[in-house]
Amino acid sequence: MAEVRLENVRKEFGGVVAVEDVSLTVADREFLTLVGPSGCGKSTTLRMICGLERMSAGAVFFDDVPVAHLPANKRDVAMVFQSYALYPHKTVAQNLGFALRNLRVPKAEIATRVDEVAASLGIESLLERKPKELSGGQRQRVALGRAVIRDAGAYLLDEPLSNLDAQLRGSMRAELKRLHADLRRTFIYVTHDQVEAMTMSDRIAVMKDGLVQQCASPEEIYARPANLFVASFMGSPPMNFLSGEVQRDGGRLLFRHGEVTVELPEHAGPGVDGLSGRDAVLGIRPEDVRLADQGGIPAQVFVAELLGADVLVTVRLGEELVKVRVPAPYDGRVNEAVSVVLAPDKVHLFDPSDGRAVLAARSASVLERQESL
Amino acid sequence: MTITAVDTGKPRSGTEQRPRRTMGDTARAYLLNAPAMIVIGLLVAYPIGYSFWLSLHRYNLKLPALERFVWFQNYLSLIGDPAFLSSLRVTVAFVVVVLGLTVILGTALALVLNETFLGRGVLRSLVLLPWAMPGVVNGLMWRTIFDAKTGALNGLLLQLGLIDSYQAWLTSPTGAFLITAFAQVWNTLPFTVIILLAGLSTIPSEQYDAAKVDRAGVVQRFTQVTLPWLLHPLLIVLILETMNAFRAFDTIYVLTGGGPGDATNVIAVLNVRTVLTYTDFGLGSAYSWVITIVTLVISIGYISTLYQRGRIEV
Amino acid sequence: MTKKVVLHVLAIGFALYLVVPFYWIVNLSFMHEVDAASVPPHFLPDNPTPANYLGFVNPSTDQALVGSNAVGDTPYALLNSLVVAFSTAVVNLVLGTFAAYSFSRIQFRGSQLLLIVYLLTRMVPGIAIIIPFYLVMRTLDLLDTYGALILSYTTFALPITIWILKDYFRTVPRELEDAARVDRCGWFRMMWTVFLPISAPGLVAAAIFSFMTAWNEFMFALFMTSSISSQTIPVIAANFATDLNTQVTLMAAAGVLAVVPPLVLVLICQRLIVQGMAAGSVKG
Repeated sequence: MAEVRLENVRKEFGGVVAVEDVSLTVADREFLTLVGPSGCGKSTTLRMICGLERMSAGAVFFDDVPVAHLPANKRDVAMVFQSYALYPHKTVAQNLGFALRNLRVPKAEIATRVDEVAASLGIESLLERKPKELSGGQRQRVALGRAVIRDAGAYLLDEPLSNLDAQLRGSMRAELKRLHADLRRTFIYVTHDQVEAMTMSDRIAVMKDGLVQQCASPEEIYARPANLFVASFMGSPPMNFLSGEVQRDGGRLLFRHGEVTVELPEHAGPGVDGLSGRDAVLGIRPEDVRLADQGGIPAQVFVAELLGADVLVTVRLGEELVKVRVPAPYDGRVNEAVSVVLAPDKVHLFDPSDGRAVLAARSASVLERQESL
Repeated sequence: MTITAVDTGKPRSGTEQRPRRTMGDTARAYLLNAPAMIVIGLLVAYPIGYSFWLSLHRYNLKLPALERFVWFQNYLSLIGDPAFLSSLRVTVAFVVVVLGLTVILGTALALVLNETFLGRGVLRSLVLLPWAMPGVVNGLMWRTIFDAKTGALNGLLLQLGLIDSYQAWLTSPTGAFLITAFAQVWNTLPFTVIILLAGLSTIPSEQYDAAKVDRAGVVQRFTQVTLPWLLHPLLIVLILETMNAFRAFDTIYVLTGGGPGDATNVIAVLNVRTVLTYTDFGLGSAYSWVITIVTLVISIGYISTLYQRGRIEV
Repeated sequence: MTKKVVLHVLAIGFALYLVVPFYWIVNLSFMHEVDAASVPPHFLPDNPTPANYLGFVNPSTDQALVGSNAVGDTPYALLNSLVVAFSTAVVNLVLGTFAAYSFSRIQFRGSQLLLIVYLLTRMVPGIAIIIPFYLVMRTLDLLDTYGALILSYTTFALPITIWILKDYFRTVPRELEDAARVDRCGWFRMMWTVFLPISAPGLVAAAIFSFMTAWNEFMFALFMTSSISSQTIPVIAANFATDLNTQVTLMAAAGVLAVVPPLVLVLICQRLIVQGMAAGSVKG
């Protein structure tokens, strides 16, 4: 049971900055995910929380107790490794019980706990096997079991699902989320997969270049990305972006991209005003774009991909390709002329000079008919 | 553009508290090396220095009165010393013959063992046999085989009708030289084979598959795939076997004792005799320094070749 | 098809090359001295006898005279060799593990230089250091003890041991160490319970190399020992050789005995030896 707090944590490897400056608080019993592209410093941050990596600067607290000086074996943490890191010379039971042995838990109790954990993960029949006799999914479960058998303050998971095939990954996501609910402990999860981040987390910290770009709930991150990077990284299929210019036209604020003009919604307020007359990037998620027969922005179908319940239609809008998510079935042909309607309330606007969001989607708004000029 | 998520209102506390100073990596590494460094420093580095110091002295245990510092006189006297010059000649010939035979036989044997055939496991085990034999026993063994009166070779050749009468193989200078070289090769071959075999085992089989797909024949597969991978282990073999051959002593000492005449009197044998029999420590140390420098120069040559090819990683 | 034939011919040729010389002394070792001296030689003992081997335990009067009591000394020499070789292997593994770990896991100033210095000490032939070494051992009062031999062989084998181990250690995934730390192991416990068991092939290869170095060495044994309290089997075997009135069958029997312990050892561990060496020492 622990709140984990990072204050201005920094890590350099021989002059190369891996983590620039990260401050975060992970609440007790929270499931927080560090997500970002490879090399963003997420794993290094996790390893510093764990104590496997020394910090170059900053402080880490577990429940307000500073732990920076403690090596990993003195910190109250358990960890699941990307490669599983099962001890090849030990059986599954020995792998599971190893930490407890080191903690000098009585043998009988270790045996009981190993059985319990094995039962809860469905690996009872594998206890006497060696790791090399296990399948990838089974190894993953053992690695997970080796962490959850511990009564640790925080459970750290470093891309635990990345070595599984797609189907198994899907089911393990659900299991992990359920496990967190049952254990009611602090989970800090690292992944490069934004779907994992979205589906499991209480909160997500999106990282890039050694900095936290945004830390908020999945809903918030999805609906109101703080900057261009978060907007482009989170969400699948990704958000559409159009570069253009903001103009003031009487009482209205307009976004112009070549021939395309979008009227910005009323809540666009003062933040956008500052951009008036300057370059801007408009973002909109594929599901917030509609295809109409007429009355929208004219475009041509580029390609249509069936996703199942939905169809992802890519349309050519001027020089840009825009993705539109429409319910199946869709029978538009390649190069067919269509009309694109953007939901005005769902429009994001970014300042290209620093990528910051100046206008976010209003989450609960009705799709309105777009007036195009 | 960064939104650093300090999502608690708590004041920053404890950042002034420095983490306990932990040992630097370099200090830790040298601490781990300390035992090895002490042993090697005391028992090798110091003796090396001391023996160099001795080599600058006239120092004979039997003639303590004559002891004095003579600068490089011991080394200078080597230039005109017929025993030294002849032993240098013998040693160089010995090293070349042994190295050549070892590399050829070792490569052939390693390649054979790398194939699959019935009895491969047996042959693999047999390879280790000479390795388990101490050099002295190796010398004894070949002595009984080449013995002029009771030797197995004489018996075999006579029974096959290849010779008319028993030959005293070890009394002819050329015969004795070749026999010692042959015995030395037999003894050191396993080490070479193990290194080459380990090298061969690291060649990814995909490379052979790719070569087969590219229609490479047996010869091309060997020159294009096997040989490049074998170069590195072969160079290691060259370094180690050169060192071994330069200091070859045990087998020769027992087999011929350096004779007949000076035919097998390699520098290591001469050196031991100078130190042990004549107790001339000054001259003996000079001999050993010559061996050291020659091996060193050759090894540096090999190692720089390795480095140039960019194939070594220390 | 021709390839198969060539392969088998080569294999048989090599097998004979490797085994026939050794077979000859095994053959001799079961003969009576009279048969061994006969012309033509017997390639099979007509009249096999274990007398030569029994002689090591309970030498007859004429056996006892051979090679200044070499026969009686042989069992003790074998025991000395075993103790010295085994201790050398252990000492080497301990010292080598610490050093090799630093080379495989820590990036530190001077690591390359240090590694090369270790190897350079192997370039110096034993004879070059034997006199000062002798004096050091005399100062430490270790002459004619196991200690002198174990220390000398450790210096011989340590550089190679470090080299083999560092390469093997590099193949052990770092995440396993991390996992052990997270599982509440301190460094020593991590090494003992996780790192070293996983490194077993490398450790075995290094141990065998040190064992063989110690078992086979002759020159230092000759200088550092003076009595059967520490003389090793090569020294005693050489005594057979230097005695002009030696019995060739006894000598052969002693030779066979000198080969058996290391041979058994390498045969048991042969798979691990190649595996341990293949980890990197010889990789391009």
